Amino acid sequence: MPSLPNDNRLLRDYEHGFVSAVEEELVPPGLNEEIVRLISRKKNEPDWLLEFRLGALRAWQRKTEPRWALVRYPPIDYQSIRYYAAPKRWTAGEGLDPEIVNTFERLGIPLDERRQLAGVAVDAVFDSVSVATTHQKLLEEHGIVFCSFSEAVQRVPELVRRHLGSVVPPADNFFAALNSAVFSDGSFCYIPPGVKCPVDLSTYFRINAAGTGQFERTLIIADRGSEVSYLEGCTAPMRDENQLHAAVVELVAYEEATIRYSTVQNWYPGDDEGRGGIYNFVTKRGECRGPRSRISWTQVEVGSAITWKYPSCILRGDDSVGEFYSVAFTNRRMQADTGTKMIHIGRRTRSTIVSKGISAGESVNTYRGLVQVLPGAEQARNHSQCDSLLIGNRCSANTFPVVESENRTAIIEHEATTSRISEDQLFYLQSRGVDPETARSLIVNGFCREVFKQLPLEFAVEAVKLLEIKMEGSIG
Amino acid sequence: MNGEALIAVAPPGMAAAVEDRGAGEPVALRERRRAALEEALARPPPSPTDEAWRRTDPRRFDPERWPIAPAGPLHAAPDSPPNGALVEPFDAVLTVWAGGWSLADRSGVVRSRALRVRPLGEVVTSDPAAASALWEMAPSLGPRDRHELWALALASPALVIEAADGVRLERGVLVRSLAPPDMLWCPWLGVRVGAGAALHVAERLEVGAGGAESAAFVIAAIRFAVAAEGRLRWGRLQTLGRGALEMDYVFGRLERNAQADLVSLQVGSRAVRSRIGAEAAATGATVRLGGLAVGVARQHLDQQTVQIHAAPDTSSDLLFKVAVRDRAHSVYRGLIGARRGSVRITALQRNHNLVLNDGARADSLPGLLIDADDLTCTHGATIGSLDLEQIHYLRSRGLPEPVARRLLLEGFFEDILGRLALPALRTAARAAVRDHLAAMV
Repeated sequence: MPSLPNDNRLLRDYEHGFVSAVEEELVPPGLNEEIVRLISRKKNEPDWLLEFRLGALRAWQRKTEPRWALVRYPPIDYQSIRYYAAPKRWTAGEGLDPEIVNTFERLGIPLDERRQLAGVAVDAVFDSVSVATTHQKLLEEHGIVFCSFSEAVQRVPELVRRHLGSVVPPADNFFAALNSAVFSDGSFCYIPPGVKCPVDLSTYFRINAAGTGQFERTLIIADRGSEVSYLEGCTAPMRDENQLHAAVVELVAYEEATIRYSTVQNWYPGDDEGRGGIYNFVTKRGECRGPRSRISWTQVEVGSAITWKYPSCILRGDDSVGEFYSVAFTNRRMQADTGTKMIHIGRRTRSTIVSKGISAGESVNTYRGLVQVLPGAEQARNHSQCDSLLIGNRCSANTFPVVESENRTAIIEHEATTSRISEDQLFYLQSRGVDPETARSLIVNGFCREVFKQLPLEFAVEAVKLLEIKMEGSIG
Repeated sequence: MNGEALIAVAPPGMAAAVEDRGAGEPVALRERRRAALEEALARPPPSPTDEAWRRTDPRRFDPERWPIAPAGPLHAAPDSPPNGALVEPFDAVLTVWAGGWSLADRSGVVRSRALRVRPLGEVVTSDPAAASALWEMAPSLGPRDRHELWALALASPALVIEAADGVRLERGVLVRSLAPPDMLWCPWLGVRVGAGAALHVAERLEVGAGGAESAAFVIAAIRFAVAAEGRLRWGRLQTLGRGALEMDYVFGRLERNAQADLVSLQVGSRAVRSRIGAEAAATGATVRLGGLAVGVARQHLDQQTVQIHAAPDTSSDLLFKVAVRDRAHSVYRGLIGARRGSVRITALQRNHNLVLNDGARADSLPGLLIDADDLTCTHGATIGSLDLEQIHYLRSRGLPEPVARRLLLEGFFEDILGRLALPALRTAARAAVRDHLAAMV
């Protein structure tokens, strides 16, 4: 039986590691056609979506698990995972389980709209289901659809059908196929032409039940000339077992639309010995489908036992822009193999990559990226900057970028550095009375500043605090 | 596995060629040749789906499609007179061809025993540890390449150049490697630089006869060991014909305070797959690596570099430049590896590429693999084309556009050519690059 580690430092470092006593409905463990049909039935899905799931299941069964990333983990028994877990009391009619309300309260995500930050609408996902979506009325006034994925399938089936799998096809990769077969809830968002979303949209993912994974699906569509900022947060209880999180996020930006997607990922990273923690194997991809569209990914990765993801942009529309800003912090025995892909297809497409990796403890932190300029991408432009900071002598920092150009007018620049915290900077700060721990924290925050300033203010403040907490004790 | 058993499973002629080369050599070397062949046969052939071969079709480099160059003393030197201006500044000229070699002692350094050139078999007998260190030397980043194992098994001639402790041969040795046309040839060269010694080795690899269009398949292995306080300067100009294939495995190890300046110039061949690298194995070792590659028509240039830091206070600095046009495709992979404990190191890696027309392609895969904390490692990669503003500037001063382009290309490569220490080699290299660039503008 998984247990909660009785370690005060761990609890302080990971205050979100509690378990909520929520009565849940669980499907039997295992993955087969019957389970997929059961999930589809529970969500009352149309036939085309069931076919989508079954096709993905067949693709997944044909695939072998990839092993090329610089991460090590024991074989995952996919037949021992429960692919659906939902609180028994969560629908509007039955009223929300007070324990769920308390859980989100403790996580700092009040589901009561009056007490929320004025500028953020939240979709709260608890295990396999979305339990609440706030500010619906305000959004509807602007024609914006922001709801759980299951609800969107019922409300706007044609929109979902046209876009689902259009950026990340069901057979794209092993984990995307797995997600496409068993995905439970997630968020759906559609911004109509010309609308600038009046509030930031946010989804908070919480894994609670043991022996499960989370396989949410997020689809964001920004129609012509629209603009949206989307924030994603996530936490899970501390357990000795590893839990799998295999999500798929698809973004579609039409002509002159802008999507900003920000993530503060704080899944449980496991203890000092590497026991427990979330395997965060996620496929995130956006397509700038129309001219002059823009997709910007910002991620702050401070959790998970293993992070393995590459938020990407397909720059199809002429003059479209892709951006990737990332801070990946690893400590203890955490492993991260993360980066981005920028695929330049349209003319005059531009992309920017800023990646900051910080390794401490015995962790392994790897940046892996691809910048690809296809023959038609005239005057494409890319600048990539990947910096790594090492704290301690038992960690590793690796950088594996790939740059491909098939167009003579393209200009691509990549630079990377690896170093440790400068002794000169430390000395300078300490000579002005700053204690060593604060000095290191200041230097690390400065190192990450370029990424933090891309985040909405509330998220930036949270990210800075989170990094400070995570760094405590990691430096000798 | 014994020789007869190998003959049963090896490709036609391969095992016999290995046995043929081993005849007359010490048993230890013969056994190593057999072991290399056995290991190569045990490996699955490279496939286009392997990560290491995804960008270079391994079918282009199939040794089984080529007749193996004969070995043995019966074959005379090909009729290829050395270029006088190039030969002039060297202490010695070593000419190597399939089945033989000759050494011209131009300033008496061989007579005085400051410099020695001898078959690997002799070194195996007189100094087995040194021979073994050269033969077994590898970047230890995974199992050896199948082609490298072929090259070891079929090595001929296998020679070792040695500079005695403390001697300073700044004029050095010119190695003329003359590939036999229409054959698979695997020359092997070891270089030992003694403690406190300085040696300059300049190699020119060309096809022995047959002209610019001639075909050949060369898999060359070069190993160097630089002892404490020693210094090696090594430059290599490859001007094989447009029908040729070339693979090379160049790797060396540097001891305390040793220095190595390595420059690789790839101008010829239809397809190249080159691996060049060095390990700074002891405190204070310094490695400088430079390279240029010029690709036209359908040339394929796949170059890999490795900078390994296995000791504190070591440094490395790499600069590789590539220009491609027509349908040429270049692939550059670079790796800096810092082993645990290699603190206070500085490792730099730069790769700059010019894509001169649509249809040409450049891929750059720089990499850092860092397991130590107190260090500074950087890499930079760029892909672009000639600067239109610079072309405009030169044209506005009366230069025709082709001349302006050629000047800019020559300027682009000049800092690599400037790394060649000997003026004569620099001049020869500049001429070879200029000839190749003339087709580009």
